Amino acid sequence: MSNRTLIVDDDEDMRFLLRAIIERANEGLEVAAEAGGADEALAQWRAVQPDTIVLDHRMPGTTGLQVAEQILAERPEQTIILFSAYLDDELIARAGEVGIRACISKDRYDDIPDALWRYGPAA
Amino acid sequence: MTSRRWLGAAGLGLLLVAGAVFSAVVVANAADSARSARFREAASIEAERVRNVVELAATEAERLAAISRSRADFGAAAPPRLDHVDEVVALAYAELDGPRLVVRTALPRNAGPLSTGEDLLVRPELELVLTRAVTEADTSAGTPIEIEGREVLIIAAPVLSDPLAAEAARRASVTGAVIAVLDGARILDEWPGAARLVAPDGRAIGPQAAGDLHRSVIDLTGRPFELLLDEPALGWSDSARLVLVGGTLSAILVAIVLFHQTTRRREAEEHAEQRSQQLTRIAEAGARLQQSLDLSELLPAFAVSLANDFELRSVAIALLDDDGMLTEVFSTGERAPGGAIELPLRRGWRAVGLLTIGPGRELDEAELTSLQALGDLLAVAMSNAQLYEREQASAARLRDLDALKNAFLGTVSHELRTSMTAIMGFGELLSDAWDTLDDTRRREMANRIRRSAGSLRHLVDDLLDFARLEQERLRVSPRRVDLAGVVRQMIDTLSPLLGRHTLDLRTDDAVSAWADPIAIERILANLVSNAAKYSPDGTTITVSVEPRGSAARLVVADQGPGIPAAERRRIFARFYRLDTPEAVRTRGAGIGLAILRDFAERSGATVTVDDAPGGGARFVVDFPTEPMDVGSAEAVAVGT
Repeated sequence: MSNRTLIVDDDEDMRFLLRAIIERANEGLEVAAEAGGADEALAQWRAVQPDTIVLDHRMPGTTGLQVAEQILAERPEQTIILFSAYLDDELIARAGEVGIRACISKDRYDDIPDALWRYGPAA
Repeated sequence: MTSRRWLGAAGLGLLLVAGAVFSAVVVANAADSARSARFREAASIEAERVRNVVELAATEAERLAAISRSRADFGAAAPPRLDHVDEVVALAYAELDGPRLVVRTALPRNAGPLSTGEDLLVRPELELVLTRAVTEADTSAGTPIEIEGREVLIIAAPVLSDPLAAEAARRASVTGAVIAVLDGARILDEWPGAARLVAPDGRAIGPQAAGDLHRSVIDLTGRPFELLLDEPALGWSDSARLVLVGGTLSAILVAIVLFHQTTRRREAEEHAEQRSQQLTRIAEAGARLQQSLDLSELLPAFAVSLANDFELRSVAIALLDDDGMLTEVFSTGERAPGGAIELPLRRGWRAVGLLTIGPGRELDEAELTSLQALGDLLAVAMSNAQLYEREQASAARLRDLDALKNAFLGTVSHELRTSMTAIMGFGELLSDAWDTLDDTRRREMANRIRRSAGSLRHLVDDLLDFARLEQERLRVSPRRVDLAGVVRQMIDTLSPLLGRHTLDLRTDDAVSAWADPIAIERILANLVSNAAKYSPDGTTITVSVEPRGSAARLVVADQGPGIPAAERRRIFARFYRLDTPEAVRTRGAGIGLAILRDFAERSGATVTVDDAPGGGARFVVDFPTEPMDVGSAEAVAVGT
């Protein structure tokens, strides 16, 4: 079963890195789309209907948590993995309250494929 | 208030007067008892006196009769006798002439009731007394009679031719009689009240007495007369009068003294009450002034209560600012021209404001003192409130600064980790999947590693510079340099900062400047990084170097939205970030321009911000061309 992922990060290098890691992992993982900001993320989410979303938190303007709240308000079962360079206990707790499935620090980028397999539709 | 006091004193005076009257009555009663006793004693004395008077007159008449053998004898002896007894108003010598008793001589001639030649025996009212004299040879006091409108008492003494004869011969030897006429009024005139002498037959001398009478029976020439003495009407005794007058005067005096004392005490009480009220007002105002540190609450509450408590027409409060200017911050009531009282508001010796009151009436000294005391309390409260406001503002600034620092740390951490993740991630991919990647892919990843490393270096440089700035350890070493050459050499190192922007470098061959190449690099790097962040991808960033007067000018212009004029000075503050949509969408720690400003300041350069031709921001840095005292220069100027 494929796992179509939407990558949301304002840093183009990060998007490129995540795409490379996901594509290299293969095993049913697929990058459905990328978005560099909140508005684009919502638009792509509605357009491609991804199985999972890898969502940066710290983005200029709207934060990842705010984007997640909007998405989960419309589709509570949507799998979202928060991928942030700056994770602390407060952010992890708030992410859990919002309904985000997992939080991964950016320095643990190679954990992304495992998280997608674990929380994706095949899980 | 004064009329009430007078009423009180008058009432008290009346009470005292009543007391005095009562005392006088008591004294008078006591005096009456004593006087009754004295009256009885006096009545007895008076009765004795009356008896003595009559008896004396009878004795005198008898003596005169004894020596008056004839009319001539009587004429010679009688006049002195008239003077001897005051009560005897007339004397007469009468001779028996057959059945008649004819008055031969009467003295005084015209004053007596008896007339010469008159036969006394024909007067019935004299019958008794004369009969006893001429028939019984006995001296007798007769019945009181009225002669010529005068009440008199007749005494008749027989004239004997043989005074030493025996009883029967005596009666036969009567030749006449000496008649003494006593004035009834004179007999009784020594008694202060009414006195009445009543003969045994009921005839009387003296007025009919009324009231209490003292009755004495006195023997006059062997006949029982009754003397009625009227007790004088009761009157105030002298002691009672003294008590009454003295008491009344004392009462008036006491009333006046008490009134005076009461007035003084009332005045003292009213003064104390006023002072108490004033102290209460001060205490209440002090409490009110402690209830808030917010001037917008505190001043209206204070001013309104002050106007009410002191019945003031208007109250205005002005604050003294740091420039010594008074600014009215609150007023209440209607101000009228003139008559305003200005009370300086001081804390210690420092003036903090002015309290201006419009009194609706005349204020006394104590009220003015109270108002000044309240003004002092207000000054303290105002100072505290201002201090509190400054503390609050300072605390807010510190909170803002703390929030900015937290945001800064978060941003820096994020930027560091993101760049590091990119470097490590792409390096790992290259290492692990080298054989599966084509050259293009490898090159792209290598470029990304290089770009992230460049960003990382720029960020680390900024952080180090910022740390030096914070510790005042940032140093520049200006020297003679070719600004155009330095910029040209550095331009390649800036490529990681450009992103998807094009850099257009325009320089003269050589532009002499007095600057530190490191400072030039840091200024240039920050300006280019800034331009790349805030201008759209694909636009051009222009860097130019040219001589401009006595300066060497470096210009970095972009094609972004530009910087609002109001923000052009503030953007150089550390941690400050614009609130524009472009800025919100852009990452940044907010320290780049602060570092730039410090480098420019230490280099003696000035930085100007204005609009680039065609829009966008244009930063102009003018480096000096000669050594200069950098301490006096203002590094940042705002272009228009």
